[in-house]
Amino acid sequence: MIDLYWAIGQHLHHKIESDGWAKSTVMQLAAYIAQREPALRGFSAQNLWRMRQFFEAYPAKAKLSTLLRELPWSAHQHILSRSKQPEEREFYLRMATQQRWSVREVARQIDSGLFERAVISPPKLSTALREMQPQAEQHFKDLYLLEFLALPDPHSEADLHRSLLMNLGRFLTELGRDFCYVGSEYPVQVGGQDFALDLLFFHRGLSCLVAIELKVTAFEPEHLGKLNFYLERWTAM
Amino acid sequence: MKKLHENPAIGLLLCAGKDSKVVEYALSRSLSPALVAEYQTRLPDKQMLAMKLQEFYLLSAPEVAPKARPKKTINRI
Repeated sequence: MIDLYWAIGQHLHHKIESDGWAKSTVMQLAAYIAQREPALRGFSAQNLWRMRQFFEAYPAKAKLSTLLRELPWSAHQHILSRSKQPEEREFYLRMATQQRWSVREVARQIDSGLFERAVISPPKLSTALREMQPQAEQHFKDLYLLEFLALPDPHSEADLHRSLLMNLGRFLTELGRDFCYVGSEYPVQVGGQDFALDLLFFHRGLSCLVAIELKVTAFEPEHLGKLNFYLERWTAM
Repeated sequence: MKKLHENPAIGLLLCAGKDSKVVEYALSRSLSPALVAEYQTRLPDKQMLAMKLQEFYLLSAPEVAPKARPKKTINRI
């Protein structure tokens, strides 16, 4: 269907460019289709116009054809109407197919400015992580948006923790497709002492556990201490 | 804890805010595979992000960017 829409868009584009078709011609065409094939849906003047826009956005289809076909038409509408630059459109096309976003999620991610966030601020990785797993950079973000928790400001760490667990599905979507939930308050034994990790995930692409520590305050260097302590403990095992 | 075929675990510190300089400094000295990220409970202003992106492009590709016009003075109210 995407191919058909693209081809119609191409046809309309050429008609408009060379034969001087105008908006009214497209409206007449839509009316004609509606009259001839009343059961046929999706060929309103507005949608025909969108097909033309679709073709003009991706004139060189060969490069993106598999990506284009994987998304439903309504997801394309969100991407087309709200992202202007070609790089931005391609970014959302790739992310939406890779992450298997729902149409609603496509709209949300565009609203959240994921593209801008990814370009302006890459994630902050430790030197050790860069050396051990250089590809980790593409699986994390610098800023995670948790607006779906509807948390008041300020909130406690327990509130944050609890609502993340209650909205685990959406949190997983925000983290990325490859994250799998392992546990909460995950026990770690060091020496004779028991500690608990806030949240534990597994990343399929990186094939490693990801321990998440939550802080409802701004970053302080000592926060890293505790996390490093757990990580060292695991590596030593 | 870690299975034999798995890579070493990664730690993610998710905080309500951060000073990039402090984070950079702390992470450059960390010997553990860790990263620091921020969370927000509100969607950001897309227009503001788009402006930042524009600035970023101008900074990173000055040769492609149009010649900078003399800066207009902005009257602060």
